Amino acid sequence: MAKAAKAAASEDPTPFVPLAPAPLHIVLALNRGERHGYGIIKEVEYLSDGVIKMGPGSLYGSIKKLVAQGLIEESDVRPDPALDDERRKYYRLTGLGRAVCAAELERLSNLVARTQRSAPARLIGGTA
Amino acid sequence: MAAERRTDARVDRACTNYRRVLIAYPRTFREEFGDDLVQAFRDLLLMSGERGVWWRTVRDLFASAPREHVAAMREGKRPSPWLLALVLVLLIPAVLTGGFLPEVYLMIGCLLVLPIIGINRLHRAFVVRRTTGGAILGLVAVGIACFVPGAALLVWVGPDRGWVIGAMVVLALIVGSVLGIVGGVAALIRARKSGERTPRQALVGAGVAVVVIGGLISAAYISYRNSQPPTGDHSVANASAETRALWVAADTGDVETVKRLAATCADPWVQFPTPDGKHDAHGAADSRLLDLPDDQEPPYAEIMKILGPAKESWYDRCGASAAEK
Repeated sequence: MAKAAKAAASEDPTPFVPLAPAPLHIVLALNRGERHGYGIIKEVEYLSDGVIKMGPGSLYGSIKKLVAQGLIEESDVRPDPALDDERRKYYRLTGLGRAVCAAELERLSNLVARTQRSAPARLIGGTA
Repeated sequence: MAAERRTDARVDRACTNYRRVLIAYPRTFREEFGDDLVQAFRDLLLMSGERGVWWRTVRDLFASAPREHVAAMREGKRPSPWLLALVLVLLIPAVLTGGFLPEVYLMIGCLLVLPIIGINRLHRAFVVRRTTGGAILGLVAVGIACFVPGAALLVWVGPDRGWVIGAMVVLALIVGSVLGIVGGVAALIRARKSGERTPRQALVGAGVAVVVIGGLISAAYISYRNSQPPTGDHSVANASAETRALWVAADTGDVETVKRLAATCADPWVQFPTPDGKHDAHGAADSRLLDLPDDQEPPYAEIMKILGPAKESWYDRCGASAAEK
């Protein structure tokens, strides 16, 4: 934990990677812009092609952890109350969160590239 | 417009119920995110057209609540006594019965959990009195309704209800005592750390709990000791014709023969093999009592009443002569 706190201070994403599936999807969802709880749930569903359907408890459990790690923060910006429910809290990525997101995306694309290079074609949807 | 109002009222009601369900989470988590959880739930209801939202939320609750409790304990927060009680109520019967039997949890739900909720509702209605007339009636109705499933279950169980009630009382005593001891020890540790005096209530509670647990263990030991055969040969191989006749009479529900042979030196302690294990004459009647419909039970209940004292008095009546042989 102390290591993570030091990393957060220096904005080094290494100790946070890889993220668990739920926090990873939340970070990816917030990488596309600020969102409130329900907005994150829907974005995660969209990104995971409907495979990950979060409930409120899992969502805010992960949000609590991500806020504590300094990867996301509550946004001060509020939409017009006429357009949105003012009780909703919006979250956004911090600088460290963006760095972790970039590191995760790089890790995942490397994983896919290596798998495609080393695995037989039939295992990755080929015809051989 | 009317349909919209109806939907709003339904969503508000669902949110109120969801807020109640949030008690499953640790208090700190509820205080920090309770409103956000309810807001996300409200959004899910409004935007997803209510379909499957409850199912999704309850599944999520079962997955996320234990995680949050573990996280809270790692942060040094005390677990809620209700959570501890729930874990004990789930685990103790599983340990005692050797598995998670649905019928056992149905009994616990109807005879222990619902009545506790019912008492809580009635307490709120008559003692706390923070509510208005209509709400008091609602609390009373819910309070009384909580006792209905238990009453129906006891009627359905029939003559074995005494055993079922006894088991629930013992379970409640064990859970209450463990909570009392854990609470007392935790209060003692906290007091040591902070240098303050240990609250008297916690110590009294822990003391009472130790006495109750001690009583339960003593009762279990005495019951075990009484179920052990007295000195002497109680093997099937050396069983007399009289002993065999007593067992057969107990198994077939022949009250008169049992009454006659129970007064002699027929040995009621001999355990004869049966398809479901070994039983003495008393056990054979008991096993029939459990299996048969209510209208065929009376002779077996009477046989058990005869054989209980016969077993207890057998050594004094016949033990010495049996030892001589």
